[in-house]
Order: sequence, then structure tokens, then C-alpha cells
Amino acid sequence: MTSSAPVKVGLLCSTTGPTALLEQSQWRGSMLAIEEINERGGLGGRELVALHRDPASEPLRFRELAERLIVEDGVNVIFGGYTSTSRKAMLPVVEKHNRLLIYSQQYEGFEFSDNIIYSGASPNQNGVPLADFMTETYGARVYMVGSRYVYPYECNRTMQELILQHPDGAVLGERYLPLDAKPGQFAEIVADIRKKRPDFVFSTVIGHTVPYLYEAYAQAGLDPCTMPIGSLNTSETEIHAMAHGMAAGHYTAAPYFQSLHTPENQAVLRRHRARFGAETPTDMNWEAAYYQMHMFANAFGACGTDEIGTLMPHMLGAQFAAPQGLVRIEPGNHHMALYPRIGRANADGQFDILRESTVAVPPDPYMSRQTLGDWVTKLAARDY
Amino acid sequence: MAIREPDERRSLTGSILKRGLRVVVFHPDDDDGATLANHLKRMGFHVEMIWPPRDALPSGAELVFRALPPEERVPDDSWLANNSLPLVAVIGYENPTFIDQALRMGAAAIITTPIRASGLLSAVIVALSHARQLRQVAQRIASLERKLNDAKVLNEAKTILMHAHGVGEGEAYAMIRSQAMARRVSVDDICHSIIQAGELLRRIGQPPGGT
Repeated sequence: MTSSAPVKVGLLCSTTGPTALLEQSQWRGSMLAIEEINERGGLGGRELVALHRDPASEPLRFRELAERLIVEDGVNVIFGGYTSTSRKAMLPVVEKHNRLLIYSQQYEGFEFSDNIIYSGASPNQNGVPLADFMTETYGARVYMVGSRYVYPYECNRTMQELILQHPDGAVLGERYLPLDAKPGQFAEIVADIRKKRPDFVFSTVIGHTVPYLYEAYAQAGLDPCTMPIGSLNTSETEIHAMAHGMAAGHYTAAPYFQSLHTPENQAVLRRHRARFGAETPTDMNWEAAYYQMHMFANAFGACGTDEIGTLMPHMLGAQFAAPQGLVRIEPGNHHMALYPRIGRANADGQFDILRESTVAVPPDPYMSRQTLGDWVTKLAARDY
Repeated sequence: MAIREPDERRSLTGSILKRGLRVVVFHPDDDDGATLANHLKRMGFHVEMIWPPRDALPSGAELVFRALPPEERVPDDSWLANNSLPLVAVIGYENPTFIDQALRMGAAAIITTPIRASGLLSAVIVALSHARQLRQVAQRIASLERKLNDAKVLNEAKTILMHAHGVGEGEAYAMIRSQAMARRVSVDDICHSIIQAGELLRRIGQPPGGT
């Protein structure tokens, strides 16, 4: 291979299936970063090329395609994965071949692999701030509704532990629906919510069923002012797929919202609009995919290779001026130091930011030092 | 009954491997299931793969593996917790949700997917060894409870004799012992008879009509 040959990376983003909506957003974040990198001369003069494959939201396809990208296409680094199930499916493949997987999505924590960088939020950066905000604003009696797989189970367990630290904390319901559930199934759960009257609803519903929950909630005439939905994953992209105004008044905890006023975000939003149209939203997955591609390019620039043994030391501890702020890859656990924020959706499908951390909060994927009102997060938080 | 100390000169692991244990593996028929079954067979175990899990274990089973698939929020396996067979849980995600679930099912060891050959034998041996220790501890507790109860009964019987015959404790015990020997029954049986008789005499002494 000559030094002018393109550098190929794998990009596994589903264009079909239950999580395609979000994975297409990840794809846009990755592609925008790749185009920026190539415009400034690529990786030391070499073009950065994404080999995009469609895993169709199926974990087994993620595994097969990751294996093929490595074995047949000679790829050293793969970007992709939305559900924990898809990440878990790829884990043995990248470990077996000793390649790098960059997983650009917040998840429930409790994992570490030498071959993975976890570039979304850890539970202490979204679950803890959300529990904190919702309990002090609305109360500690929660109704939990989620999709039927590991992310909602573990998020709900974490939420329950945080809630039960309150004297009046209670879990009034815990319901799960499949990733391909129908709107009618959400209507039935919302009827139960209406009957039980929690202080707030905690949603870990995922993918294309997210709009069903918010629409069923609105159709039942429930009021977000008194009993809002709080989520860690409902983003601008899911809201864009809902009927207009459906999510208004509901909350999401995330390190990034499209409405952020940072100069980095404003600049990248201009390029995003020019490339994908003014109507196409950005979101937390988009941003994680975007800054992680840049962090990979910077590390490659520093060492001249994407071979994991040489590249990894240049990724670990690296910082990047991301749209959300200056982020850092924590060397000890491969997760990100990020800025927890609480956003409330408005009628335009954007989030008004009500609380944000003024410093990057280190990731704690094993939730080893978390209590409700975690002091690191609390001291660093600023209310609006 | 004393807990028998394992013979230090003999390998516990070796003796378990030599027995060719019958292992029931509740695991879906996928890559991990195949890796698990193959490696167990490699180590000389007799493996029976079953999925979905059944309500009852095949007879003769000595060790159970049970996969906790992520889509099963709360598996209905309460019967396993009441089962004395050692259980190894197979989990996909090493997080509190699934670890807690495995513990609730009474798992003596936990392994995680992707299944690797390394670590499997250790998990099997630890599970079997813990199960054996638990069994021995349970037997010892049962035996101690029996002894404790016997001592209580003996004290009660002695007290009755001491009151009825105006004798000391040593003499009361000698009376019980000689009765037991003469009738060829246990000291415990004699004590129960004395307590029953004492109860009867007390009731006869009470005015009628009372309960």
C-alpha cells in the first residue's frame, strides 16, 4: 500500500428496520465529518473513505458485516451500532481480529472492551441528572415504559435505585413493548399511566416506536406541565418523526441538543444545513458520530496508521472541541467526559436547555460513585 | 456430624472430571450454545441441550446451565431456586439486572457470552464445590437442630421427674436412661412419653370445664 492510498473505515448504519431513523442520523454525522476531513487534505494527504453497509437494524447482520469489513475489505476501524444488542453482536468480532469499534451512542453502561470506544453518554451523565431534575421538579413517583431489551431494563434499574433514595420514591409501573410494537399497545399503557397518576413518566422506548408513545400521551389528553415524560434517548430526530408539537413540554437528558449556542455547533449546523437541508435535524447520536470521526482523524494524523495498537494511545486521553464543548476520551474506561444537559422540547421540535454542566463530567459506566444529586454533576450544573 | 475435610492429596477438580457428570444445558441453539456444549463434551461431561427451558429437569441431571436471554425480563424459574442441583447462569450482559436475576435463580456461578473455553472449567468446579459445601452445611444445620431439640426435650422430662419424685438432676437422667435401655427405645422416645404423661397428670389435676 502506498502512502497515497485511501484510508478505508467501516460504517455500519442501518437504512431499514426499527432504528434506521437514528442510524441514518449517525451516518450523516459521520459523513459530514469525513467530508470536512477530506476538504482539509484528508489523513496526511490520504483520502478518508467510508465503506457503508446496511445491517438493517439486525444484530446478527451487524456481526456478519463487521466480520466481512475486516476480513474481505481489510478495514481496521468500524463506526456504528445503535442498540446495545448490536454492539454486543460486534464485540466478539473486533476482539477476535483485534480491530477497533467506535460505538457512537449513549447506552446503559456496564461494559468495557479494549477494542471499543464508547463515545455516547454513560448513565451518570444522563440518567443521574434526569432523575435529579425530575424528582426535584415533579416528584419521585415514576412510571417506567421501555422497549423490550437490555438498555431499558438496565436504565430502569438505575432509575429505580435513584428514585428509591427519596422518602416518597415509588415505581408505579414498569412496562415493556417490542421494538416493532403497534400504536394501540402504547394507547393501552398510556391508559394505565392515566389511572396510576405518577409524578413523571420515564421512557426508554427506542427507535420508530418513540413517536407512538408521545402521540398516545397527547391523544389521551395528558398534560406535560403536571406529568411529563423524561427520556435519555428521545431526540430531535424522533420528534421530527412525530406529528407537530407532540413532544412539547417533555424532557430529555443528553450532552448535546441542536439548539446549543456554542460557536462550534453553529458552524457545523451551517454545513449540515447546506449538505442535508434545513429540515433535517441533528441530535445526540449525530454529534457523537461527528466528533468521534474527527477524533479518529486527529489520532491517525498523530501516528500515521489506523492499526489499533499504535492508534489507541493517541485516542485515549484525547480532547476535541465538539459542538457540545471540549470532550475527552477517558483513558481508564474508554468512555467520554461530556456535558450533562436537561432539555425541554418546545413546539418547534427543538429543546430549550434548562440545566447544563459547566465542566465535562467524567464517565462512570459502572455507576460506582453515583447517588441522586451526584455532587460532581450538581456543583458543575447551571440552571436557566 | 462433622464436615469431612477434602483429602488434600487428591485433586477435587480431577475427581469431578472423572465422574463424567450429566449436564443439562438450557441454551438456544446458536453459536454460544454450540461452543458451550462442545467444550463441556470435550471435558468429558454428558451434555443434554434443551431450549426453551422445561418445568422439570431430566432425571439423573447433576449440573444445570441456564441462559438468561436479554428479551426475558423475569424468567419464571422459581423451581430452579428450590432445586438442590448446582446452577451456572449464562448471561449476555454483565450488568446488575442480569447478575441479580442469576442470583435470584440460585446460580452458584455465572458465565458471560461470548462463551469462551477458558473460564468454563473453573465455573463448573466452583459451582459443584459450592453446591457440595451448601449441602454439607445444610445437613450439619439439620443435625444440630435435631440435637438442640433433643436437649430441650430431655431437660423438660428431667424437670418433670425431679418434681414428681423429688430427685436430683443426675438421678432423673439415670431413671430415663435405664427405662430406655429396658424398653430398647431411644432416650428421646422415653422423654416424649414422660412429657406426654406429665401433661396428662396436670390436666387431671385441674378442675373440669376449663380448657
